[in-house]
Amino acid sequence: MITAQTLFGILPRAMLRCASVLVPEDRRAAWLQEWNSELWYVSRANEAEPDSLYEKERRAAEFCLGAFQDAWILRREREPSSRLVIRPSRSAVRCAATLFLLVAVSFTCSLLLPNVRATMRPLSYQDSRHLVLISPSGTSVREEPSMPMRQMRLWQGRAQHVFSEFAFYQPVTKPIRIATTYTPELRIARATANLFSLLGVHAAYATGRDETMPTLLVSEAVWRQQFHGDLRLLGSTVEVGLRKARLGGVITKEQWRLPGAFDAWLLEPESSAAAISSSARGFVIGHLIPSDPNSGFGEEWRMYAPQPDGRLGSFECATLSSVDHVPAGIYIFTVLLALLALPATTSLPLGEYPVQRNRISSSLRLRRWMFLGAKFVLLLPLIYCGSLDLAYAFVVAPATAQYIQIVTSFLIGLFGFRWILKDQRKRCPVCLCTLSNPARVGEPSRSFLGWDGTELICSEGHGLLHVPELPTSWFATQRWLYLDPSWNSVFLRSF
Amino acid sequence: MTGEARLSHTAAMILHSIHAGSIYGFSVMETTGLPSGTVYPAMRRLERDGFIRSEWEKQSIADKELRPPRKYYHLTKAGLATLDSSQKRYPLLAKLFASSEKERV
Repeated sequence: MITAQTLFGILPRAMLRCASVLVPEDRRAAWLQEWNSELWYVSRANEAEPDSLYEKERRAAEFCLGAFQDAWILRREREPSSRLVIRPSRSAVRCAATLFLLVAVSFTCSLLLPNVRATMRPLSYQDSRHLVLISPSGTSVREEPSMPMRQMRLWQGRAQHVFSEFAFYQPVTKPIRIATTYTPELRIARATANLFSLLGVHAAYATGRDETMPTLLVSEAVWRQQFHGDLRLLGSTVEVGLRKARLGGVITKEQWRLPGAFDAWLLEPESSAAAISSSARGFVIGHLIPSDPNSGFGEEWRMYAPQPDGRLGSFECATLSSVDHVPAGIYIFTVLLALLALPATTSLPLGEYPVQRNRISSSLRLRRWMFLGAKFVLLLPLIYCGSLDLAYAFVVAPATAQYIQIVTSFLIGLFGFRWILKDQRKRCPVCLCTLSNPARVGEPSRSFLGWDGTELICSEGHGLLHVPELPTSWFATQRWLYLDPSWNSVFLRSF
Repeated sequence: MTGEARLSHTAAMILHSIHAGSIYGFSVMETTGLPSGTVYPAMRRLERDGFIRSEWEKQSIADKELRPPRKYYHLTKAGLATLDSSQKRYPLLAKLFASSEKERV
């Protein structure tokens, strides 16, 4: 059992051992031996005192606390003074802070812009890995309604091995009559009754269903502007074109992530499914039967299925989860593309920096690389948020937004990476300040056995940068020259 | 270092203490009343500047008396010269150590 006396005996030695970690390794053993020896005499002196055990050990501990101070001073004396003085220049800190600010601004914009926020959020549909958007092959733009209703009816009438259920919606434009007033022409998705149940979406403020009358669901904007958010109107009868429908609820922006932008959705009851014409063209969503053979399809595949005319037709199938990954996929693709294109716009080497252990410590070298890494790390979210902000800020078709994202993401990435390398090359490797005072050196016509180019200098006096005008076999990239301490007196602030 | 070197009050106290016969760290602490965190770093600086030198006691002597060996400090010639000049700078300090020596006698 550990008694208080044993514990008090161990504690001072443990303190000395901890303090010894601070002492430079080559002096540690001798340092510890002296302090341990002195502690022994301190303990002997304490034993002679008539004080309590606590008081004696407090004095011993107080003595050992001085060891930390001694060890710290020894350590500081050993460190080169330049390491303590050199701090990253203001321009480097300002550069990192500006990048961080840009990231913060673009991220805030992403959160504030409803379309961007909805795009960044993960898909809220249940089982989106098994929900498949089916479109005829050859239709390059999935935003166009291209599937005829008769095609879906044909599939519904046959035994299914791949899909368990289908839903259809057709874009139409009609005004809605509320009591005696008409709304302007609204973009309405005329859909089968099972559309939202298949997606697993429940409308806000939804009321019960009427099997004899179509149900009208409206977007948040229409609910506020045309229905003034009046909850008493839920369940009331409105007219969509010439047909009566019951106002069923509200669909939020996040709940609709399928092709097409709509103000309202008109769900036809199952009893009058034939109300949608067989020739109507729209979008078909299928629910993939979860099975081993079906899981091999992946996220996108081509399917051959019978058509109403008896021939086999080719159809493109894409799971909704793959559609959800499109912005992230575009981002990764364009960033890689920008990295590949980067060597065509600027040279990749950062220059030659001779290793001089006595002039630049490993921590300073590490700091230079960390600064470069920080710029890359900050640029990546800026590309993502910035390109999404520009692409999805305004209400445009998703395909158009994707094209805008491809262009903006690539351009921000390419010119951002280019700027990072160029900025890094024109900074002092010691203090990271931007080099100044460019001076033209040499003459292009006399480049044989000489060189011509530009010389830049670090205002802190750490060195000179030689940038060749024309890369040659003996002077391909820029070279850094460390200035020795004899130059210190020339500069106002030197180390 | 020359005898003209100007010492701080604490360093002068420690030099006086060593000169007065407190030749190891803990005895310097007891004589001067300074804490360990001040005494040991100051003695290291004085040694680095050549005012004092240190030597470890022989292990055999310490073993005979069943105690760990001690590190002893002595004034060098430069240290003695600096001590003389510091007595002019800190006359009260010189008197203090002179009186404590008398008390011991």
